[in-house]
Amino acid sequence: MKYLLQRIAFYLFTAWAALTINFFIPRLIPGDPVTSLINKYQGQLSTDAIQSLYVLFGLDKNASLWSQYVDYWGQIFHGDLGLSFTFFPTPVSEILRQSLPWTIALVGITTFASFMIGTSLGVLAGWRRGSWLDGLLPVTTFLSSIPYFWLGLLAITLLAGPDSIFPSSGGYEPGLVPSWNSEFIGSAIQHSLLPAMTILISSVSGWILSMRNMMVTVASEDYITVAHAKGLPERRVMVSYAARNALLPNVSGFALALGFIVGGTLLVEIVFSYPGIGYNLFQAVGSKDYPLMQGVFLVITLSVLVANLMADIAYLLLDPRTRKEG
Amino acid sequence: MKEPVLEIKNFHVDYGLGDQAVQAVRDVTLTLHRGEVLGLAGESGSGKSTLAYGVTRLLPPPGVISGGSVVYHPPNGDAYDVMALTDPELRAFRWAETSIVFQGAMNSLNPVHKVSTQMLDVIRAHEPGLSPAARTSRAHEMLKLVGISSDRMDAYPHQLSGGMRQRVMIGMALVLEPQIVIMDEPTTALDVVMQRQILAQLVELRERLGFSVLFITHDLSLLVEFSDRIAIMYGGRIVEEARSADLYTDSLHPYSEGLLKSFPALRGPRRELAGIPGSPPDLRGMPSGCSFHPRCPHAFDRCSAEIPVLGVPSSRNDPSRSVACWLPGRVPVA
Repeated sequence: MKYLLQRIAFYLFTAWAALTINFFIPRLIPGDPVTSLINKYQGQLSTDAIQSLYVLFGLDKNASLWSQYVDYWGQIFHGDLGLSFTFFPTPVSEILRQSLPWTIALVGITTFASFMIGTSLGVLAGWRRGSWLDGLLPVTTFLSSIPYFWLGLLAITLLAGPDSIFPSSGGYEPGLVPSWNSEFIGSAIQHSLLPAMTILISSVSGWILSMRNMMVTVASEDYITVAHAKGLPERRVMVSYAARNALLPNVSGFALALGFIVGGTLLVEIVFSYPGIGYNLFQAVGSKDYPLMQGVFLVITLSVLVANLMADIAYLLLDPRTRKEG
Repeated sequence: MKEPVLEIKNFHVDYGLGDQAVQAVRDVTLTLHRGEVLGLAGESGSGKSTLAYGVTRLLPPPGVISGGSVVYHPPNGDAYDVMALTDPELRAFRWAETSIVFQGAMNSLNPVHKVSTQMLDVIRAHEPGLSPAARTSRAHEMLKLVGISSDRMDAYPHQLSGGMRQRVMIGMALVLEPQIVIMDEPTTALDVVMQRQILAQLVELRERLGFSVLFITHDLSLLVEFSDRIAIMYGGRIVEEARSADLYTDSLHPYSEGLLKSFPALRGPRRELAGIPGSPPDLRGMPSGCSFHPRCPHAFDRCSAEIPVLGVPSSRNDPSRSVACWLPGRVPVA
């Protein structure tokens, strides 16, 4: 318990540091968002309007850096991340609230499914070393070396088209209004098939490879021989003795992958014009939308931290050696 | 003569297949009697551990049992060949009839499960009818016998010392009250004091539970004291077999002699320690004839030409002894 509290304190500190850097970076980059907004309106803004824009973006030149910093924290705790330029005047938090579920649903579910499928196949491949399952390995190595976006482009070229059931872009049928009815959900699932397959195919092989290799390593441990000598059922030796130990390194890999759900599959969302966080970031970079970028970074940072905390907790549960007495 | 409990007959183990195969155990015939401690000694690479793995069919690939039979005699019922068992039969045979204590005390326990979990799963696998409470009390009882207090039941392996882990392993090996316990260098990883304690405990437990022990070690001094009979292995073959006292006072094979001279006696006059010159044979290219002849101080022409046969030496006329050597008086009576 004490260990867990220590970890939480550590993550709070890291979150503070990350958010502080998030505050300073836009202020260190040459040029500022207001200037680019002024350019966008081509001199049609009065000086008062410009000044109020600076205040609005928290870049008030009359306020000290410290008071800006204090204001920044106040805003974060209120969930106020400023206004986006691209979708002016929609607040960034509103944009994120709309796009985050898409990313979490698509990438989150596929990452989880990929981990589960890959790990189970890896367990089997490692356990039945030398069987036909080993034939999977060259294929998986090949697939894992293909970048997400390229596989996505390939999928769109080959599978999507006017007559195909796979739509090539978007998160749902353009005419539909997002709501919890079967028509919308069906359309959303249909739109997510191709991007999901893309992510699944290119990420599952990594799990297979790492789990298989760990299984092979663990299979030569003495306690596996002992488990065989004890006459335990084959399944129990495989699951409870071999896989249970081989799983540990994969769990930390999974936590890292969870952290990258939000940012890591940016390219897939761009290729499929999928309305998620990654696509937001792409749009934000394209139009120098600092508040939106800041918001996306904030979400990515926090999700990496939360994922790491979850990995720590999972490790505590899975490996008794990491638990400290008391 | 006591009745046999395990008869190993013409046992061969190879590593690899075809021409590349390395013969690690060759034509081993050995009988373990009910209630006795049979010591198996030899240098590293002599095939003693391979024999133990082979007999229990636990050889990791590329190990292959290329011949021979292992006949097990249950206390009541007909004898059967362990090599002919099907997988489910073999699983039922393991641990319930023959359990093993391995060399690596440190790594024999699964690090992620509690000691109790690992004790209980073997009971559950073999006696599914037993109630959970009965299983737990059996495990408790057995750990108490090996000197582990019951509050250590819920400990994880990393919370125990090396000696405690090996005690747990011995307790686990005995929990189903098997007829045979194979011990493959069970005390090698422990300090001398702990070795002694554990062995003393083992002797006591054996008197109480009446199991037979096949004790494998390179430490002949340990065997002389602890076992009833000793078999010496060299280059994959048994070269001498005798009662411990006979072997200690009157060893017949030059290799046994060499082994005995390489450790100091606890009692008696001081004597010169002598090692065995040369190094263990390369299993990929065994010398012709008796595989010990290149290192043997008494070797003569016949040794490099013909493989000596294991048999009762003509000079001793004692059926409990056998030796494989061409020296005069040691050749078996025809």
